[in-house]
Amino acid sequence: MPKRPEPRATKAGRATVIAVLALLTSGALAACGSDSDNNGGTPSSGGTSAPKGDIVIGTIQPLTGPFKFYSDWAVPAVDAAVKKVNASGGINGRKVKLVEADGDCTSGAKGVAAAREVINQKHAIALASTQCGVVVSAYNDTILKGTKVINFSATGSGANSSPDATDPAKVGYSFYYSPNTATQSVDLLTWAYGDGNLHPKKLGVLAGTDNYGSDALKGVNAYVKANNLPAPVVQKIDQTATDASVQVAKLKAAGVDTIVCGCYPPPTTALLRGALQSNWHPTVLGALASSGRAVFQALPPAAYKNFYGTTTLFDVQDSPAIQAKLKEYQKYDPKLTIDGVPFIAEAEILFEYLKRAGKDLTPDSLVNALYTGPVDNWVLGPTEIKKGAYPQVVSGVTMLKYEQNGEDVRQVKVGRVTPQISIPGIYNAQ
Amino acid sequence: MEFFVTTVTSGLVSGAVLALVAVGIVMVFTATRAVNLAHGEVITLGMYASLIGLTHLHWSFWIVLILMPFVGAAIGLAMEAVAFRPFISRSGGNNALLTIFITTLALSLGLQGFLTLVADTAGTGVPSPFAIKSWNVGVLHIAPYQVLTLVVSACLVGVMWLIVARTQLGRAMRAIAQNADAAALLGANPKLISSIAWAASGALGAIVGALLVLPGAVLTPFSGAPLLFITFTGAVLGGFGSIGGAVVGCLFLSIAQQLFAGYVSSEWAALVPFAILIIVLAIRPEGLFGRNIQRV
Repeated sequence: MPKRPEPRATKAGRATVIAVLALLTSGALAACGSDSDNNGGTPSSGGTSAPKGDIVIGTIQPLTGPFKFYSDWAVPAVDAAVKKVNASGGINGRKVKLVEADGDCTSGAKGVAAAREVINQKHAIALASTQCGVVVSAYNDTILKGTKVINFSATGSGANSSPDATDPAKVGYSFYYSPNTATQSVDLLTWAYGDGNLHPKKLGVLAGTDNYGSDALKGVNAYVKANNLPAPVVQKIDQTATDASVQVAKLKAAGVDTIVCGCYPPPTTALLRGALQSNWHPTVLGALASSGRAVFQALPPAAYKNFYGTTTLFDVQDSPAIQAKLKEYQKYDPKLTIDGVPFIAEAEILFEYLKRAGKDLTPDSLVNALYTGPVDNWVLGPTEIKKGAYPQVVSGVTMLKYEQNGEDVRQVKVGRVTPQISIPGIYNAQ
Repeated sequence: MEFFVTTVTSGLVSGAVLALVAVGIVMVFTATRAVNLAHGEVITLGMYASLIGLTHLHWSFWIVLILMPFVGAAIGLAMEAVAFRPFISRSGGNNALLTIFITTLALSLGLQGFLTLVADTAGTGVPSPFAIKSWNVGVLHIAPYQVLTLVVSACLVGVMWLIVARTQLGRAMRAIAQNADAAALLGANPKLISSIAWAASGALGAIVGALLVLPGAVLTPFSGAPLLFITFTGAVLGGFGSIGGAVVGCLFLSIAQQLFAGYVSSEWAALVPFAILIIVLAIRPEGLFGRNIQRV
């Protein structure tokens, strides 16, 4: 007797069962695959499996937008550091893989999306050399908080300053390897009144109208209060301003002889030009952003004769040691420039902690490694993460003067300074 | 008294630059009723062209200043070709103007993006071609670059006003702005008038760029954009569409802002132009010199 054709409903039902089984199987296989690619477990799980595959490090940089120059500096720097460590065999036998995402620097939302991309999609277990403050604090507070993803940031701003800021388990494991602008102001004044022997008689401040400027002013006020000095004469200026005539006239009329400048290059240029134009020669102490090369390109040497700038580097850019290291790293990424050198530091310091975390790398072992003592680095000098300390790891700066050198400007190191007073929410002097 | 004179001088010089920017915008608006949101990038490109002329080609500033109108005119015509002409004829009236509002905004963002790829976003310093010093006449202390800025701005604003108010070209411009079809029937050539306006606007923008590097400046791909905000404010205050009104509006706002920074608070000075605008428009919505019918 011939076989009766199978009813359609039964055929469809069997096809459905097969399809579902296929889906479940492929899902299970994908999960197994992602586990095998996982680099020590998901950040929040604290994973316990033995490490396999590359160690994925992320960097969030402003790849587009007005702060793109940070990524032009930082990406080749981190890339060179990664390639260099891989050339030496990697970390505990594992290669390092770098992934990047666009954090834009002007939008916290974009920073959060970038962090989600590198951590959740690209499986980074740590971030290195990240910028900028508004972006870092946005994704620290949303993505990193509550996890054990480590973030070594190249910016000084954006650090949590709440009462819980000294407990990374509560606020996120973000650490800042550049002094906050407030700390920079304290550094400048500590040096001016101390080793710099400048003996300021009347202090003035030219501060941007943004967070950078208000942080600079915060540091000045903290120093003035701690040392019982008279209140400074304060002038504010827009960070895009190209004319500071009014501010210069007011500071000059008030008898100011030393100015702390918490501004970006355009108003810094306007300040120095305005002072020269009015035949006034105050000492100007420039925070990190004020000390950009473009300022000195725009002005004659007489304008910056009394200007003292800062860098986080341990030595001047032209020093033989720094230049030799730069050439060494440029073999790994020819796009690396001298401006990118500071960004190598966070990556290499992170590599040291990863090494200390051991072959059985997990988020827990990495966190524990953070408190195993100082890490020396050719860029920043020795740094240490201490339990109970604020997340700002680097607080000192190198003080610089500037001399014309043909068509360029040469940095001259005049000192190294660390803050000697505490700044509430930012720095504890010990 | 010295401080007052210094403050007013600073406001006058800044206002003179803004007035030139405003005239550039109003020229295009007068001839086409379109607002060019990419005018800030004309200024930025003018600054970079000046940088190349001064520091790479080692030309004198006078040569750079003479060449800037031609550079700017070329930029203006290119902008017209890309962001205006293809869209003005496709749909009529306010739809076209809205489209052009968006296309010029897109052009502005596109140019900024392009410049971030080819220029240093950290800033490039351009040294002043002249010595930084001050001429002192009693309580007046003014730098040579400030005098030059005032003279150049005054001359150009005067020339533009004369052209628009007293020449056949100007009459044709104003006629086309009121009714392009009717003006065409009477012999005006809207396309030619539009091109002349865009070229003139570009020329003015590039000259502003040269004046901005004159004292020594730090250039970024975004140097020109911030000028547009206060310029629009000044132009609206004076009566958008009126060259004289735009000039007076920009000068007034700039001086008021500097006086506020000097005598009240430098921190809140940035808000002054907008506060003044709101107050004036509440009393006189057409602006100080604006009228329902376009006139210079």
